[in-house]
Amino acid sequence: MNIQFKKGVLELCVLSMLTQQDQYGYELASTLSELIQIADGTIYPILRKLAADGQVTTYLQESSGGPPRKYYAITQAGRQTQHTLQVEWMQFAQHVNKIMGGMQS
Amino acid sequence: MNKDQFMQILQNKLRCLGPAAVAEILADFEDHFTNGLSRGKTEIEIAAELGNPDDIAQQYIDESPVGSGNPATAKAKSSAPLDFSSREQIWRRQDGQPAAPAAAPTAAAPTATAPTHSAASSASTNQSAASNKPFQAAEQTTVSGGALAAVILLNLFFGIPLWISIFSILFGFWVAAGSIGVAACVLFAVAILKAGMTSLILLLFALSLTALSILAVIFMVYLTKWLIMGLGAYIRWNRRLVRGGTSV
Repeated sequence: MNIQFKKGVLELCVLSMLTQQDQYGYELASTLSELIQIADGTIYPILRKLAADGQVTTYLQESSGGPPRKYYAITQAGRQTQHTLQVEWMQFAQHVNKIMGGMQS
Repeated sequence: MNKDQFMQILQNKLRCLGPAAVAEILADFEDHFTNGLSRGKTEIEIAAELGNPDDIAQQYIDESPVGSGNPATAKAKSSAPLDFSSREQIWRRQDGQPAAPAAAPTAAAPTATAPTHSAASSASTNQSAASNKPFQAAEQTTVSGGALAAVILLNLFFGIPLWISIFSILFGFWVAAGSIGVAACVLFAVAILKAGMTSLILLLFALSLTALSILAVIFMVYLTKWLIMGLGAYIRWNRRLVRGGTSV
């Protein structure tokens, strides 16, 4: 799949996952790479950029039997972005589906 | 690849982002390894799942806000990555079709490509490269016809005559090398046909001429190879000039 496109979709995925609950990097990476075929490492640059853009914030939390983990939490701006991206994605997918449907008939 | 090797590559490639950013990024990956190890994975498995460290480093470099000195670049940076419409432009461009000359994609595209060139260089040149790129890109879109004309003129008055002269000289050298060989053969024939004291000297002379001609031929083979490679590079450079002007 086109890398640039995949990156945009990954941003939407990460933001969407964070709207449900705060998560740490490893969690996000393994959930995503199970569902979408991506290298785990791809997610960290995205998280860093989202943090730099103020879409997410980070905090450290103690973990049981290990060093504290860096958790990611979505901000209000992040929620708005997630909503915008979701709408755009749905419209995009709808158009693609329409085109594919038109091709088949 | 184990953890240390992975981290080493990442660290080396990210150096241009500055020590603070590198430390933060490396800490994230350190955590990732710790989490993976606590789940019973090996370092090698975790590194393999993470992917190519060079690619990951490049992703950080591409997304680092080095172009923030330029308002146009900064604006494109903050809006483009979260904007599907501009992403579509990039997408279309990569398929080889010309993108619509809207302001945002023209500015957004160089931010995606510029840091690639300056990955190895320092942060300051990185910044200048990122801020210069949009203007270069804008120029290229408008002077594509001019670039073609310039290349044609350059070749007509300079390139073609130059290469013809070079290859004529090369041909002359080949003839010279061949003549030395022919002379050697003739001397051999004379030496063999005419036995006597002088024929020994003639034979030695013929031998040295043969050696000389072999040397000349070897030299000529290399010279020809280099010149053909040079011509290839020149042709590629011309093609890049023309294509660079039309495809951006």
